[in-house]
Amino acid sequence: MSKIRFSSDILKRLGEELNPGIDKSILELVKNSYDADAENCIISLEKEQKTTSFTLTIEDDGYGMTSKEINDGWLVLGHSQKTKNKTPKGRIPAGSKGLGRLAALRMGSSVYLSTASITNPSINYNLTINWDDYDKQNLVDDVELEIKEQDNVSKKNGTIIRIQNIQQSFGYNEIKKLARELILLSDPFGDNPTGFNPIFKSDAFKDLEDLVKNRYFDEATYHVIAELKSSSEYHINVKDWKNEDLFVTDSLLSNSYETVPIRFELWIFVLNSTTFVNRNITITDIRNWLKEFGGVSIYQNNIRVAPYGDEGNDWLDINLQRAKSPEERPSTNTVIGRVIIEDKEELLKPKTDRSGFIENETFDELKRFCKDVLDWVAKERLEVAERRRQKERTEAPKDSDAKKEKVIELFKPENFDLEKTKIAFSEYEKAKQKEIETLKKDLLLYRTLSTAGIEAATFAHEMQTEHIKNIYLYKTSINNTVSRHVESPYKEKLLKQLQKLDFSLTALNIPSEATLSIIRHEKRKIEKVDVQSVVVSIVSSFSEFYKTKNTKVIVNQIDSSLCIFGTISSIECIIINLITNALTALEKNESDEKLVEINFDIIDSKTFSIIVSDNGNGIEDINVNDIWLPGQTTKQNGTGLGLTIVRDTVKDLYGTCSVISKGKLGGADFIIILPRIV
Amino acid sequence: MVVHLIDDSKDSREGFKDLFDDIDLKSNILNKLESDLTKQLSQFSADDFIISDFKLQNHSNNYSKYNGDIIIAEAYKNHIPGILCSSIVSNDLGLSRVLRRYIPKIIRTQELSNELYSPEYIIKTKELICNEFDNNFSKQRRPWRALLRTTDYDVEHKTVYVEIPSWKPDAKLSISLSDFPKNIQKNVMHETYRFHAIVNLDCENDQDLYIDKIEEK
Repeated sequence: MSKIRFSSDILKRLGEELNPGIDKSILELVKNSYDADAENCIISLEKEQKTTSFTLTIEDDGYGMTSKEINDGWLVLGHSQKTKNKTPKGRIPAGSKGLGRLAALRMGSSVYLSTASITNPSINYNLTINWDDYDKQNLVDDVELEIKEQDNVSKKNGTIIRIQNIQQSFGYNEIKKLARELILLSDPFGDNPTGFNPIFKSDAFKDLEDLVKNRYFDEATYHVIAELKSSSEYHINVKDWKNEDLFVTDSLLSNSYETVPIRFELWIFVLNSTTFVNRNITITDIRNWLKEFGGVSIYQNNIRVAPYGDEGNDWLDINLQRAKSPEERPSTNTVIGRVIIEDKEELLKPKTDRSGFIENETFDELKRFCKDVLDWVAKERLEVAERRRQKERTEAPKDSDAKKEKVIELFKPENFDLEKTKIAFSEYEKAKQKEIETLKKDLLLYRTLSTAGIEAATFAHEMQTEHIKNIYLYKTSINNTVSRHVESPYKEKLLKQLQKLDFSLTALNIPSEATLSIIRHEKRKIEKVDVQSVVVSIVSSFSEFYKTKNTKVIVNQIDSSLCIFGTISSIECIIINLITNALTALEKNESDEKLVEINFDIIDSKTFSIIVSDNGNGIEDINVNDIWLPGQTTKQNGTGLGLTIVRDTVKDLYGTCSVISKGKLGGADFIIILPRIV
Repeated sequence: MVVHLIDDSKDSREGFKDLFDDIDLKSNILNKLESDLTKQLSQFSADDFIISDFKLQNHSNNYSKYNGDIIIAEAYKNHIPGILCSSIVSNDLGLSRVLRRYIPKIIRTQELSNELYSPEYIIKTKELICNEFDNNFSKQRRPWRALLRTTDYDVEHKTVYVEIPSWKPDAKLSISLSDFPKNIQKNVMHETYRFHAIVNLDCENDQDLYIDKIEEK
């Protein structure tokens, strides 16, 4: 009887050709440990003495193998032991057909295997493969391997594989990839009792060893824990780095989420030098760690589901939200998180190509819950930041003034003391610096807006000087031609269309024209400003535009002088933003009579009010207290900055602003109170 | 009568021409202006009419060395009638109040309509301007000697702010420092400097207000 036999060269070729890279080869061996239900797996990569070679050792505490299992499984290449059945610890086998293992084992000149099975841990089986023996023989079968049996003194089950004399050089990036894969294969959060814990040891790649070992969760500034127990029962808690509760809620925008029970945890890191000043680790450590493991992963029944949380997979649009509203929003580079899904009924179905879940309603609802949690956290953080910002805005100038007084006092001849003056001056300088820092934060926000403003003004100017003029010219010319030369019924039809064009042209022209008017430099001059005339003038310059919005804007002046000490642009800024806000609110109002009313009232000899009311539906879908916060908007693609600007501008004028969600016309009433000068 | 069309945009010049062709008015497109203004003006006659855009240097086509306000004002001084027609014409954008005295009519492009662009309208406007050549002003344009008072000076933009008590006492008007005679420029940089000038005090809109012949005392 004849049989196919294999040349010993085939082992060499298979080993070389199947080697997808050192990281992947090593990972294949680690996956065998994972499949053997090991909890600990130590991967050591050591440089051999007096040579340039390495030795790789993989040691685990898994089920181990018997002599038969070595013979019928481990030594059989191409035969997959992988089954669809989960391991006793509930893991889905991750290893492949043993060809990857061959590639790994062929990295060195010899392999040593030592294993003790859980079925009889007192016996240890070991085996050595010298690849040189194969090179000397013609056929694979010609090399005899001996499995030796020894007493296992420790009586602990597990397997050791040692590959010696590895000639290949290990690239830093390959090892880095391995480090990342090792962590993601297991449980990067380290709190799963059935978790797999790979430990990477290497003197040559000490920093990567740390990357695998270290977990920086304790360094997070915020830890969000959101539990959805049933569709309408959920609880969200944000803790600080001391593990103390910061914000808690049982109420999000939506009352129910029709999905599986989940636990969403997110660690948010505020990576700035101030927050890290007294810590033992550096921002770079955390940044490097997050760079590898940041993002939000999904674990379904304890198994990680790729590609959620992989590099470039921002399934919760964390970066998009940050780009839209940068304040107090994390990016995937500053968070690590997981969504643990308990899905006994398997309502979340994997795609056939294993690239995540089919995006059914259950998955969409899961996503919606997580996004709502992120929105809520951002809003809570924003509120805290805003309170701090407002406090700093008020207190910084006061503090700096007090310090200045102290300096002035010390400059008096009777008080003069050089040392004390030096200290006082330094304190004054610090206070002033703090004031500047506060203003810098404002500047950052307004710089973003001014960029948009410059773009709008440039566009407006370009439109005004040429394009709009030409449209008017040609429209008029067409109108003339139609009137004179076209017969009915086309004449009427065309004239009607031209009339509609005129309407749209007005809508286009007025904002362009008004944009240019707003930026006039003399409007930023600080002087006595007659508020009523500024309001009348700005409303009049936009009046044609309001018509295109089917909205009547009425200014009810009173017969008294209402002047402030400030700038025309500040009043224009308040009014334009409030009217724009009202126009947005009125978009939802289907009534034909859309109305915005501006009223003035004298409160007392020192103050007066401007009240902007509309007949919309009032403030909906947003908390009344939140409307002033930057980034809060109910309008799609809105910046959510208009009312923040109103509030800041009013504050700069030493005034106050408030809102009534259902005012006198049915919509919101915005009340601005300003100090009056005579 | 020929309507001369001045605009640094070719499309706009052609647009204007179409408009006048429609109403059977003879028009002449000026595809490039003479660098010497006097030479340019010599090509127009008192019977003609000029329609010019305000800013003529927006395009990098070397269309003109001077803007439309200069052309219309100089033409006016030579008794050649003309108007400015532009989408943006305002003293905030560089239109001098001193020159405004010699630019009796400004049409914003947005105001163009069939009614306005009739031969009658052009003829009526031409008549109105020619009347001014004979010192026969409309109420809004009639010149008066008035007292002006400086209120402020903007160093950055070299702009003097003035009040005209006999016009609107609370209104502040801006005048470029360079519009003042050289020997009083230092004085007007200070608050409450008083001087006399010719102003159309019956004018209602501050964009139409002119300040001419500023007296040096």
